[in-house]
Amino acid sequence: MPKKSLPILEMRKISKAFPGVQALDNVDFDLHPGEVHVLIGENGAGKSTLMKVLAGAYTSDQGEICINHEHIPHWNPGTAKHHGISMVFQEFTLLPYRTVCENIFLGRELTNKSGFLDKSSMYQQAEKLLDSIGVEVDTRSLIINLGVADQQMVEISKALASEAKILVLDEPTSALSLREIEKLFSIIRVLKANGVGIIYISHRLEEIKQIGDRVTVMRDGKLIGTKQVSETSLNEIIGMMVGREIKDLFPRHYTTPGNIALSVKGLCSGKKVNNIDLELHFGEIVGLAGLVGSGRTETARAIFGLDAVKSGTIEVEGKEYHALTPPTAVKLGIGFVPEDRRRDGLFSILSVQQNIVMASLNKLFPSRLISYSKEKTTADYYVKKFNLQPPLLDRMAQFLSGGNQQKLVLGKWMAANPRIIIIDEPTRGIDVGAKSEIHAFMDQLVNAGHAILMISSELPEILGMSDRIYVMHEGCLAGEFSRGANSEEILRCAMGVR
Amino acid sequence: MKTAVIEKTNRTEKQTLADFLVKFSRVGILLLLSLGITLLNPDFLKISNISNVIRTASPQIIIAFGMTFVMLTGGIDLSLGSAVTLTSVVAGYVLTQMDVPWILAIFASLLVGALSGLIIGLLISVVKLPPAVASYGMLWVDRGLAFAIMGAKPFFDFHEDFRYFGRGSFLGVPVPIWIVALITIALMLLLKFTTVGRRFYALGANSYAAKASGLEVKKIILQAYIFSGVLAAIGGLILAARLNAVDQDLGAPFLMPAIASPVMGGTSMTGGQGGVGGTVVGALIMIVVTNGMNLLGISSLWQQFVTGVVVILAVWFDILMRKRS
Amino acid sequence: MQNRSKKFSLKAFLVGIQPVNWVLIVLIIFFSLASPTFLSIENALSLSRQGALLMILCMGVIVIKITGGMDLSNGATMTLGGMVMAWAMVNLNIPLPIASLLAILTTIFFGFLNGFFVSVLKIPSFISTLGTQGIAVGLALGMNNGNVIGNLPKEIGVIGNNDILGLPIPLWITILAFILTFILLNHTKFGVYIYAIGGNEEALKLSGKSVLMYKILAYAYSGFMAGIAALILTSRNMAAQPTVGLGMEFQAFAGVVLGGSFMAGRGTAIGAAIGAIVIIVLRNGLNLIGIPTYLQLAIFGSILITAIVLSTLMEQNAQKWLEE
Repeated sequence: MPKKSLPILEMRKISKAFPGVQALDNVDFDLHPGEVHVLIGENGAGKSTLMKVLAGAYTSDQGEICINHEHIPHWNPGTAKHHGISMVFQEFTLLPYRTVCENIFLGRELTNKSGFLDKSSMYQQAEKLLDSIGVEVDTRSLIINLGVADQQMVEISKALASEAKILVLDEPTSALSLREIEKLFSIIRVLKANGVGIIYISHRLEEIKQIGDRVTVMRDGKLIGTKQVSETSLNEIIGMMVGREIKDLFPRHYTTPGNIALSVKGLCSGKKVNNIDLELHFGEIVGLAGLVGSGRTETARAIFGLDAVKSGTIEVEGKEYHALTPPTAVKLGIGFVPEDRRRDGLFSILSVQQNIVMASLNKLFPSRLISYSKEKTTADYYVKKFNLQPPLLDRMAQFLSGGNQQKLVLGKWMAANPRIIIIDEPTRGIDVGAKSEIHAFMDQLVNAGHAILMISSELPEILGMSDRIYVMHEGCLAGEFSRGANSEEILRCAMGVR
Repeated sequence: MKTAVIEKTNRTEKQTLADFLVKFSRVGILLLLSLGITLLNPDFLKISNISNVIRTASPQIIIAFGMTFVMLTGGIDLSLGSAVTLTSVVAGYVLTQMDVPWILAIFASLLVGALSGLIIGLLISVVKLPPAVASYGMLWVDRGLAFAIMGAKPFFDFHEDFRYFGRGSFLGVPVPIWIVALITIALMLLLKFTTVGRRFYALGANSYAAKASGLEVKKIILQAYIFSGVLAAIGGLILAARLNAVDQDLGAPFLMPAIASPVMGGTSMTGGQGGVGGTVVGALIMIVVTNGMNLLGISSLWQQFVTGVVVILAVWFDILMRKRS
Repeated sequence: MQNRSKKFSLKAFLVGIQPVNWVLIVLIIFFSLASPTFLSIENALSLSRQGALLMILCMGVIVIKITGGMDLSNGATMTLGGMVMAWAMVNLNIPLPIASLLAILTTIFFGFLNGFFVSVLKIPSFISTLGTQGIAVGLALGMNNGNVIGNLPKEIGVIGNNDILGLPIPLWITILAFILTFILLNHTKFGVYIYAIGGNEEALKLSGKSVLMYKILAYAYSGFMAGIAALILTSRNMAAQPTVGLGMEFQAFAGVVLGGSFMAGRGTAIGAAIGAIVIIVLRNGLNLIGIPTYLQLAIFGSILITAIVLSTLMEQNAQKWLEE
């Protein structure tokens, strides 16, 4: 990787703000041809926003993008494509029931003189392309018959076929086996030799050393640092990701935990929950930490019954179950505040009042007849308790701000009187004021004897709120920590470094 | 790649004002249309005409209620027309081919309607077929069964007491109108004041959140489609009682008005919004248009044309409006 | 380097097997045994005349079905096309070729209308085509007050009733329609994009092609096929009836679905053709063994639902199976 060559891409002083959040703050990023530039940072650090700006999906508020040292104004998806930028995300843009070749040529089909498809030429070229980068997939296979690794290869080949000079790989190895990762890396090396620049987004520290030339760490929308991989250490990288120990004041009053509320043994579900053992006592908050994609949400969903359970047992206050369904879980006193609050938590077109009673219809109205005065009183109570703004009961849920929407979801579950509450990302995307309100409320809850299982990707929150911490890594339990742990320990565990 | 949850703030209160205006405008359209037609033909506003019109249209209103339930959950029941045919054919069969009390015809009809709905509900909730496909298939199954039961000759000449439901009057008001009124009130109460009704809205508003909030989604779907089947049966019974006969394609013309009425009445096809009251207004609009066309001498043959146009316009308008919010 | 890892998967093979082929063979065997006249040349030729309509409609529907839509209007537009054609010939003395063109233009217009509603207004296809079905029915009925248009000039009977080289003309037309559809779907960019819309609309959009335009064209193509069917229909009947084709859209839907197009992005011209043949054979066979028409409908409906349910379950379990 010749350091002397011009960067093919320069992003200078990129800033992007959304209501309430400064997603990118004066970020510089550049890429040389034939280099693998790793982009790393916790969830919410700004990596995806930066890439969206690069793809032209977002327009930056400030800053400029240069290709081959030439400033390109009016950056949009068309210009991005024109300058050879190709994104390979985890959701593939492939047609499942068409062949590899057909997918590679989508939109750019070759025709013969009479206007009909020139299939033989397309297959020839497709084979040549795959050969040139060392991909061993039959061009005549249907995408649906390929494993994820091969599908990814096809996605990458598709990008190359449109003469990509800059390839963005987003968490490319999260679904791959070791062998497949090796194959991917050998292909990346071929691409490097051909002068393609690669932006490689990943959490996996081992991979940085294996495949990266430079690494850039982002945190809270800011660029923390860019280093040559050969000149830095994993410790230094982790240090940059975590920052100084921020003494956030979290309003926890710790008490002695009570009886076991929830006990999960050997839980297996789908691909991302493998043999998970968890214990949750009344009176405590157990934090579940890990990187995005480590299986924490899937574990929570499996416990609550939203996803199918393959094996394992779930014990609720002593009673053992093979698996729960959401209605049963609610009856047993479990509440579930989901990660995707818009999709799984709220009824956007229903009113605040209607949302609040939705998980407790039978409890509140045992005669199955709805009493509007009771509904109003209940809703009033929770609106006041959570300080919902504006305190209008008939406002449609979709018109509330993020923080208030989260409080609404909490209110809905509290109205159902659960003893055990699973909260997935309690304060994601929420302003500081609402954050502390929610934290204070969680503290109150456990002090009143409830049990909380809290999933969070924000280390300060994990450390500040939990009595105990489980860490998941790639679908398995990687470690358990007590209250006194520090960020670096947790992060190393989450990244699979010991 | 997870996107950050970016929050929107400050939607204006103008939205709720707009909703109110729209609701009001539906009644307004109804009144305007009625006025317009009266100007063209004063016979329209005669009590005898209005009473006749609503009596004739009672089955249509009730069937539209069935579609309303299903639309509230975010689905559709394309089999409603054939369900009407099938259930009334069953009733006709019991009334003329079996030597049993006429009231059994009513039970049989309701039962068959419920079964048809149950099957559709199962296809959707267990087999996970899209509602359009599931109900379209049942459209033909019901139709075929109706043909099969009836054979070549239509059933006719029913028991007097049965016909009362279609032709009788009580306290000067035709019985079908009583039935419609009672059913309207009952369904309104159900949707507004019971947990069963509330769950329909929840499922239609957000099926994911419904599941994640512990609602029994399968049960709700079954209930909605069984309701629509039963309501189709009631509509068919009134129709059979009034016509004193059932034939093979009795119910077919009812499908499109049944789709248009709830949509025009404010029940969104995407689910979670609307209700029976709006459907009454929507159905009345369609009925007024049809009656108006009759009074103005426009051939009934063109009415399918108008209905088709109305359905498309109504749905398009609904989609446009939902897009804005 | 030709050492490609050809991933042969038993699972994939089983998932891809077309049950409709087996169904057809079973049906043919069953009916040949049940009725002496079934397996005869006369029957086959007669079938090809009667079944031409269905097959041609299916060739139109398969294109729409691959994009993930439904067409409930083609029976009605076919009928309307016939009415327009007959009306023009009888009342305006328009010569046959131009009248035929009018019929096809009418049906293509409705096709574009459907495409517009689905693509631009984003109205779900079952509603859009239900609506246009009503419009077409209304027009067909209203045009001549619900009456049949007869007294058509003799030339019109040629297409539907004569033979060329020993084979009925409708059969030739059917074969041409099949070949056209096959080539379109498998050897043109149009076909690629139709499959793309069904497979992953986003992917096609990202590649810069107009999803809107191709969707509209798909519906227009079905309209075109309905027009051709209208010609044959009117010719065979020597008259235009305002209610004659209603209900064929279901048989076309059934044929296409049976032929393997359950999900968006899946299905082939060959499959649709075989599915159409299954329906035709079923219709004919049931007639030959004396099952009354009204019972046949019930049978069709049940078969269709069962086929859809089974195939959906197969797909779901196959997906789960493939994922493990």
